[in-house]
Amino acid sequence: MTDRERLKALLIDTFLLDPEEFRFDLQRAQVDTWDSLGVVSLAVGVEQTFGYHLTPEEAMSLDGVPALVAILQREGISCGG
Amino acid sequence: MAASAALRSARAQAVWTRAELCAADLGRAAHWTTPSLRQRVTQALRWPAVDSLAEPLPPLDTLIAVGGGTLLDQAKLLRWQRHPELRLIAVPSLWGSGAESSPVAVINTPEGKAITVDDGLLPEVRVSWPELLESVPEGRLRQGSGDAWAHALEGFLSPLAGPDLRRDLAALMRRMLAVGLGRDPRWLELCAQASAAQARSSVGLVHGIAHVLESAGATDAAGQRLGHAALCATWLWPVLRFDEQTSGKVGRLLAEHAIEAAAVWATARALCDEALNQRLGPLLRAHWPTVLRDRCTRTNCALVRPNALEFFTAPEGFAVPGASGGPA
Repeated sequence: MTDRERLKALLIDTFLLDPEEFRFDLQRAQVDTWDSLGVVSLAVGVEQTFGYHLTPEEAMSLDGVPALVAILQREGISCGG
Repeated sequence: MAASAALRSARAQAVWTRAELCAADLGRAAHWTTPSLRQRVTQALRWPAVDSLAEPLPPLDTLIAVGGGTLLDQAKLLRWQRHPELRLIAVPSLWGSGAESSPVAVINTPEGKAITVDDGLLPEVRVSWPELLESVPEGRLRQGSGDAWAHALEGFLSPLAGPDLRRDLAALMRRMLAVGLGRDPRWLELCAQASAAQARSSVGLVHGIAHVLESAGATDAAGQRLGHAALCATWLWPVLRFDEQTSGKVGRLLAEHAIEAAAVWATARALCDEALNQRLGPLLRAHWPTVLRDRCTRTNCALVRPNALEFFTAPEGFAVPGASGGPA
């Protein structure tokens, strides 16, 4: 499984998404489970999946999947398209 | 036992003995007591009883609520929503929930458990009155200790816990290990501190499962409804195993805080009724989507993915031959 595929699976499981509705350009405002508790779940899942600890500021500032991809790529995790 | 600064809520709470309660000047006061203790409490206190919290209440300065977590939470909500001028004194008649010491109230609704968190929910005073627990069966007290262990461990492991809170919860858990699981009045204070502490971080999947299964009408083999403490006690060990297997955080954080991990695993194992967990498997499967959306599940220390259900409903159970209780 590639990092991109692992990220997709993580986001689907964290936010309880229908796989059919997932897109890599999803914005936070389009995901009702991406609330303050979703931010916590996502930070836990990113650390578990990629070993990267999102700072609280990073986790809170994410406005969508592209922003998360950008952070992970900066950390050498190749999940871009 | 003095609470350390990190275990205090943002709002101060006094801790009284029964003697201090009896001697206090409370103005116009009344007690609202669980029915099984009403006569005894009425004989011990000089203030009258109220039969219910239905409006209108008589003119009061102080309400003394005596009962388990459900009754205390009802009193907390009533004061917070409709009578903020009232002084609230909470007297637990069971240990476990720690409702007397937390700014959290949980009530049953047709949609499940509704959780409210606000500093205004914290009673001004909690009273330690161990004699009220003399008639509580041993098994019920043991489940209460399991609820407190779930508060302490999930609060400690929470992704929202900071270093100060983890250090203080580690100290609390060492005291809990020293006291053991028997009938010991020190559990009143341990439970109160565990509950106050978890309110400053979060709890996790143990509470997520307990909330949902209790609302779904979970029963034991005799058909008796299972309460929150019983469910927390029996799900603590499997959830800890899941957390450790999935994230490795349990062992790492216990080691970092010099907590005897083997003793923690043994305690969690002793609280677990594996036959009960197996029996609850189909109910857990039926309500798993609700567990995943529970707010406590979503702040678990390890990510709870939909396929985690298979771990909790595996036909072989959670026991691994030869394992001492910790992860294989």
